[in-house]
Amino acid sequence: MNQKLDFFIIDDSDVNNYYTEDLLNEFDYTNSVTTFLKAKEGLTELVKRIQDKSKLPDVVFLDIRMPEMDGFEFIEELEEEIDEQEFNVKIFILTSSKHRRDVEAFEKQQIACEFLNKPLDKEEIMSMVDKHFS
Amino acid sequence: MLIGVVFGLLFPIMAIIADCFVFNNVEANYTAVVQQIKNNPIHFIILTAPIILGGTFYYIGRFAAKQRKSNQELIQTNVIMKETNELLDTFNYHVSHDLKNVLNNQIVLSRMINKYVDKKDHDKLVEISEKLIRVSENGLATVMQFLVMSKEGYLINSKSVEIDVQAEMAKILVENGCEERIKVKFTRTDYLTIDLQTKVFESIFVNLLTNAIKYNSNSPKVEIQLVQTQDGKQILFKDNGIGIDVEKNADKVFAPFQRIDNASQSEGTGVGLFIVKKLIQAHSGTISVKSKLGEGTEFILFFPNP
Repeated sequence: MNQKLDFFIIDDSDVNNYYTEDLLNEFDYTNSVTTFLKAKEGLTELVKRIQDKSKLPDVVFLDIRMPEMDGFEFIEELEEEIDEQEFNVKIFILTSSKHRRDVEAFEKQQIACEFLNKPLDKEEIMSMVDKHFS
Repeated sequence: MLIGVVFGLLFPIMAIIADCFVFNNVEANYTAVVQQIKNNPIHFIILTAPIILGGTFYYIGRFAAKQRKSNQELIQTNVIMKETNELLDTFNYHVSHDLKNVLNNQIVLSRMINKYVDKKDHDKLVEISEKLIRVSENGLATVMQFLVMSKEGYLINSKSVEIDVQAEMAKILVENGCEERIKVKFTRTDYLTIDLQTKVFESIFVNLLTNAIKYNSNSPKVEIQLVQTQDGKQILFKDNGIGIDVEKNADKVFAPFQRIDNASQSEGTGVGLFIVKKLIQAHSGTISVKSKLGEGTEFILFFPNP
């Protein structure tokens, strides 16, 4: 793969961000990893980049249960800001939850394309990147 | 109702008068009237009717009222059960999430240790193991909190004892390994002992003390005042931590599974103060909070006189 990828990780668990960032940095195709401990901050950055028409990340790893704004609230607010046809960022839900509530909420929405369970491993990232970027 | 009772009671007398003086020409003296009543058995029926009918209606009424009351109780129990069920469902969701998070964090950090052992990166290994220790400690605290929460019903039913507040506080600090991490000072002691269950006292102050340590960027200090009022005993617990924006978070401070903005950086489950409030309420007490961002937090606990 020739393309270089930019990643966002949005998760209130600093340990998870620490780990996922470390994992992503192992790949040659990783250009940058930016982590956010609050969904709101990630959203603000994304919206700013959409408005500036500057480079958006290629993949956003999004946790579900976070204080203040959770993953699905993030998706709802993002939906209002974007044109779904043109929006090309792959959003992967990354959660430790397999709860029915969360799976149903994932199936109802349109923006996130994968529902991944923690802990993430190298092979899973590789197969997801292959699936969406080759 | 009253007219019914009066009519019911007067009816036999009217019947006797009618029988004796209207339909028959009985002499107006006691013996003659009694004789007339004896002759006409209908009077026995009429005389006992109010008692039998009254009694019957009285018991039917009482039975209906009882039924209505037990129906209301049933509805009330149903509402409580429903609420409890919802709370349990939410509780289950949060417990499994929080525990999974702890275990996941331990897994990923252990994986990283493996990786950096191979790379022989000593500094990185130190960094990771420090995180691992912190995650595990928080995990243990999480489990303890959930245990306290599920035991709460049991705690409410056990007996209060006289607790020496200062001695018990010192004991809690030692038992929880906090005595070097926080300074606790009693600045006013109107009274020395308080009637509470030891476990409840411990749960309340372990929670408040760990919060005071956790949400503090300098050296944690707590000032405690034991204030005797006319109605009961107050405990003022003031820390020097990061504080809470009380106006913005009024309904969040004591609600279950809530994390407040400036607290979300620290690990936690968001049940601590909920437990504290529940325990205090179980002792007919109250807790309130006064705080400003950056200026510490003061909790005001109040236990009314028994």
